[in-house]
Amino acid sequence: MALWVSPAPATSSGPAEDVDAAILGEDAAPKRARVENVQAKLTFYDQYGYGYQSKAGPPQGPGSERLQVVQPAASMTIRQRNRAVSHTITTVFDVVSAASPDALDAVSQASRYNEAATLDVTTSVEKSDRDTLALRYGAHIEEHWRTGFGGLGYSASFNEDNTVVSTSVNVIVDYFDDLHPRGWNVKQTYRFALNDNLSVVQVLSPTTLAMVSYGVTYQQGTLENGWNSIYVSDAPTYGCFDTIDQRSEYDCPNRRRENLPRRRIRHAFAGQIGQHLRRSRTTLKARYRHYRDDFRLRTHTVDSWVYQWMGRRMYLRLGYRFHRQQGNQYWRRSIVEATPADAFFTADSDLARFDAHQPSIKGVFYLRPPGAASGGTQSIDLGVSRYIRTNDLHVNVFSLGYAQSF
Amino acid sequence: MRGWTLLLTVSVSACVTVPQNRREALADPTMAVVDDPLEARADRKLHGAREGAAGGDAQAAGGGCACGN
Repeated sequence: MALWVSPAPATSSGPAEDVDAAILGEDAAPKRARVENVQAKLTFYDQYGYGYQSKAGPPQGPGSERLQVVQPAASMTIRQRNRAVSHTITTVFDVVSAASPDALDAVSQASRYNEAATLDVTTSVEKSDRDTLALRYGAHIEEHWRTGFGGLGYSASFNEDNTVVSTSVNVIVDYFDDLHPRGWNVKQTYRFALNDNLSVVQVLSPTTLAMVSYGVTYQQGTLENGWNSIYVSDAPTYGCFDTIDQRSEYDCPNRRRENLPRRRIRHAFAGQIGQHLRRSRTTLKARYRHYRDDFRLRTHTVDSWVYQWMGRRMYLRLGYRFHRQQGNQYWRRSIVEATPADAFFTADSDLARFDAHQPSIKGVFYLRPPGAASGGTQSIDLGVSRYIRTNDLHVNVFSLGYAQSF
Repeated sequence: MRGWTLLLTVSVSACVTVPQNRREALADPTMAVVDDPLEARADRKLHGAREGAAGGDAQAAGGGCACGN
């Protein structure tokens, strides 16, 4: 880091600066690092549905994808004594009931719950009024999975801050157990991802803001998660049972592990526009995203939101998201025994052809509203949404949040 | 053709400079590009794990999501 980040201008605390600060009434030379804002959120996911990659059902599928997740998360931004440097630290924990999608659970029921934790740190250095450099790093840990990631970012503002251009490069390395569909650990394996992004935020008018972005991701390594399997329709089923209570069905040769290429290149284009209506204190936002990759997966996603202030202290947000996905070229419900070992196939319903709808509502109540004389804000929020996929999956999402800026 | 017209319109509009003292509406919390970072992060995980179309959006794809991403 020291190779590319030149020291930012020091904020001296000498007598002259103290006098300036006193006259200007500002905290020009803080004596220590200070917290700029904190945010906490508790989200609960309640998922129902079925998928052909799941073994929590008859061998020919579909199997249950019943899942519940409790996800506490917190974030804090700390500005150093050198005011040009700040750190945003985010931690996320997931407690997942994963009896169906996790091979270990489906076979042995050894653990009904999985826990995962993520630490994500972004250190920003404001080199000048115009330029900001960022270093991102962190790790993710779950039952059989280890991830490390790091990245560099740069953003520059032009045209009296009416235009902000940002670019970033991220590297992600996943190291995990390569699980066999029947539950045992075959070996340790990895996947690697290199991700480049470019985005432009542009002020279009005193009440209009637009953003466009493009990102490309190159992945290499084991792209299967190991336990996803596919039904072999003509395999012998002697001694196998079709009920979930009979675990011996998983010792049958009638399910084979999914097989995907070892490389994948993914592209995403997005655009967003926001318009504030002063008279009614309403904000309208719309976003479009197009994704394509060399697995021939194509998606179109539209998000829209309406924000309405209800007095000085509260606003409501109504949202709707629509996602259309053309399935991955390797997706199928089943294969036959004669399918070559090096052929690519998956029954993962996440990669199938489907539409998804997600209406949402959220209320934000300010205990200390924006523009208060004391400075800073303090708010609580409550949100509910329902994610509905046309290939038999839906998720109810509930969230409770708290945020404070100082 | 419509796309190019839209792009041209946006580009021409981008030449207009809005001074800082006229950006009060843009400072409204509802106008932030991402109004709730933790919620946006949770949504990315929700969709990334169920749609297999992660990546872009100035965010990394893959990493920790045991979902065939």
